[in-house]
Amino acid sequence: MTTQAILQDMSLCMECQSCRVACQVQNGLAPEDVYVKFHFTELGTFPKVASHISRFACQHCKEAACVKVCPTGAVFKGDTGLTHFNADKCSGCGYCAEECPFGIPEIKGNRAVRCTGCEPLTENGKPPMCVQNCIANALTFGPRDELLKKAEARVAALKKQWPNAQVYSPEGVGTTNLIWVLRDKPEVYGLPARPEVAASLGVWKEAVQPASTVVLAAAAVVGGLSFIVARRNHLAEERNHTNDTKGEE
Amino acid sequence: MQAKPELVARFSRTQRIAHWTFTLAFVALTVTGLFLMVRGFSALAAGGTSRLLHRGAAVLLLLAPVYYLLSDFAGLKRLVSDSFHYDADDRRWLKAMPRYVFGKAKGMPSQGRINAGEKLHHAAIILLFFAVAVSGLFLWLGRAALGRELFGWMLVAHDVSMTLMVLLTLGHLYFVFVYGALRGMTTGYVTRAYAKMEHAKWLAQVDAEGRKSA
Repeated sequence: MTTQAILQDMSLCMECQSCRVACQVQNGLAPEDVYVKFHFTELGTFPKVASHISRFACQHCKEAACVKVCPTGAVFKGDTGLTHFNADKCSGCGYCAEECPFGIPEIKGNRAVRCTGCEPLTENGKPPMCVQNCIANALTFGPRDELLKKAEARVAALKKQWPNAQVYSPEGVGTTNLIWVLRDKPEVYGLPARPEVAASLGVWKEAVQPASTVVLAAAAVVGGLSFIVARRNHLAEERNHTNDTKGEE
Repeated sequence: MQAKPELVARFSRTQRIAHWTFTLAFVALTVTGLFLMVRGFSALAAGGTSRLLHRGAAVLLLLAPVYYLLSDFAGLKRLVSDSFHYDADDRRWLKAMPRYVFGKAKGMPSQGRINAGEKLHHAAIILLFFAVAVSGLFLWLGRAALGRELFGWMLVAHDVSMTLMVLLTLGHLYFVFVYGALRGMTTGYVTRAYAKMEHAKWLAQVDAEGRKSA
């Protein structure tokens, strides 16, 4: 399947938050549990002030720190390139919450509260529920290449009025499958300018964990075989030793 | 009829309680830890019950040496000191160790209360205990103090030190069962024949002290 993406155009968003409600309905969440959070920004000084509420949810990073660090496979990548989450596998260790460069997942009770990428919908070519419900067309779902071109064209148009307008899909996390169109610098929306995945995660998950498993299993097998020989040798020597001691006494 | 074998006291009550408390906690920690390392076991970690167990066992593991310290400070001090001091016999013993691995204790250089292999084992366990405890406490209680990069390195440190400890424990179990040494730690006593073969220098010391007090 070609990589799919969500385009989030902040120049179109009317801040209604209905994407959050749609997500909660789709995922059967309690009112206080949210996969789609919002970032509140206040700009300027009185009387020239402005405020923004921006949708702040999973960025669907290509090299996702949460997928890398999750020890149980509860967070994983789907064929679409979106990040999915299986709550039944989650141990609630909170490693994803520690490692997400955007600080998005939360832990409540013994499980993570995080976007599932609407797996049943997106794996069947349908948009996730937040996108389906967006009444301002600020959210679009489709092939990543197409959406990226659309985002660039949109930014080019926005630049006339918003010189800092930009596409945001940072390289440090291998780019994201949530593509932002921003009217201003990332910081204004509570986004890190240069998010990165911790290098230690790769060492842990790809080297230390598999190597440890192999070493321990190998030690158990070699030790078991060697034990048979060693035990036999020692029993023989113990018999001789007892005979020797008897001779002495 | 065979006479009852003569027994020599080897491990005190404090030592045995500390040892088995540590063992119980260590086994629980290893098993629940493997749930997060071996993907085939990860379903057992779901829901977080194993984390609760892991943390309970972690407290027990930390308390075992504290109990030893409070109950018999001199004994703990001697154990630590012995583990880091090697005499000429110990060095010769380590050189001859390969044959000991294959079950041949006879002809090995005479050893004190703890043989040179046990000394190395203890020394490594003591050092790794601190590594696994510090990294574990950070992962549990010190997350706020770590950045994303350092948190990952704590995971590395915790897994590497624990893997080494499990390897040492496999080795420990190996020698216990090759040389039938389990009873020493359960009853506290070993047979005179065992002491003579494995710890001749220590047996001589025990006998000398016995004569003095007699």
